[in-house]
Amino acid sequence: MDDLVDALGNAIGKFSRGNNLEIIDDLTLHGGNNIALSSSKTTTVTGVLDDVNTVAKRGVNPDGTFNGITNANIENVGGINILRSPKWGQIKNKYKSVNDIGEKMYDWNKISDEFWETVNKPWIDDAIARGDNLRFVSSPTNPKAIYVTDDLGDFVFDASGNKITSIFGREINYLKSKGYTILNDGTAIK
Amino acid sequence: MYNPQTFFNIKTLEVVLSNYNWPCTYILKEIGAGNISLQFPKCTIVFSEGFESKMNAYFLNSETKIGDKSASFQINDAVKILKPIKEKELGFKNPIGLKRFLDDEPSEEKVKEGLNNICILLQTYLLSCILGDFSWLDEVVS
Repeated sequence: MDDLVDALGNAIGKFSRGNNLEIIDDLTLHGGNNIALSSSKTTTVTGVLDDVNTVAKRGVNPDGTFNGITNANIENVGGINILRSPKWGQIKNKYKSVNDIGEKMYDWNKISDEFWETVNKPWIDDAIARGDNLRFVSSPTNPKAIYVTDDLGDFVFDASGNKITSIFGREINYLKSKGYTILNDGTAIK
Repeated sequence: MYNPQTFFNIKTLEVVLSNYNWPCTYILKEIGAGNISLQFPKCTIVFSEGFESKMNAYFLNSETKIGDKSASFQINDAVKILKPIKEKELGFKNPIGLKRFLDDEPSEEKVKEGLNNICILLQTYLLSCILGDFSWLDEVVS
């Protein structure tokens, strides 16, 4: 069992490869702060960006190097695979405009479509193909997680007045279409 | 692995908080993984820098009493519940200065703007929580 500490020496977790990652934090993630790991499989962790970020922080040593607990976009037997990409911001920027009164406007459907097709779907397809265990650290039934929100937490609507399915929402729908059943404890089975 | 630079620290939070009047005294504490707790006598708020400098704030499960296994209750979640109630109060004033879409790139400025958003929401809708009143959560939890 490895004790994880941050740059100030605070305990932030305990890790046992192939067994468990315990996240020590005042914040609690959906499904709780223990992530069960498998000695023979990669555990793919997903959710909204900020919840996944809480897990990602446990994969970074105090000196900023990576410890291998969380790898991005690749197999990590006994550990965790997460999605990390600078493309979300880049694609958002690509479909950004400013209206007459100086407010930022985004074409969320195009942003979502492009990120899903070029980044997220290939990542989740790889996880499905490997037979990874899945762990959701955001609630798949929380509307704020499965629809796009702005920086105040309010829903964003398209031109027809409909909420826009978030990337996490698309993952949930996609996994269900592939035969997965999402469980209340933050895992999924097929 | 893409690991964007972080910008949130206790000094930045201290400066932003000092721009607002709070109903009681508070202390700030670095609590691990880059998170900082804002501790009022009857309410603790945890500030956390999310992906690419998006700022989030949460209540402690031990204070909201929503249970150890439930996901922490975010400030934005609380605003959703209390906003319709507060807006009916006599003399309610709509908040000014909120920024709906912050920069895409992580930066210290984005952290400050995110913290300002949170402070404005706390001041407008959640002062009762700061004073320790979480009774509005009873219905949500049940």
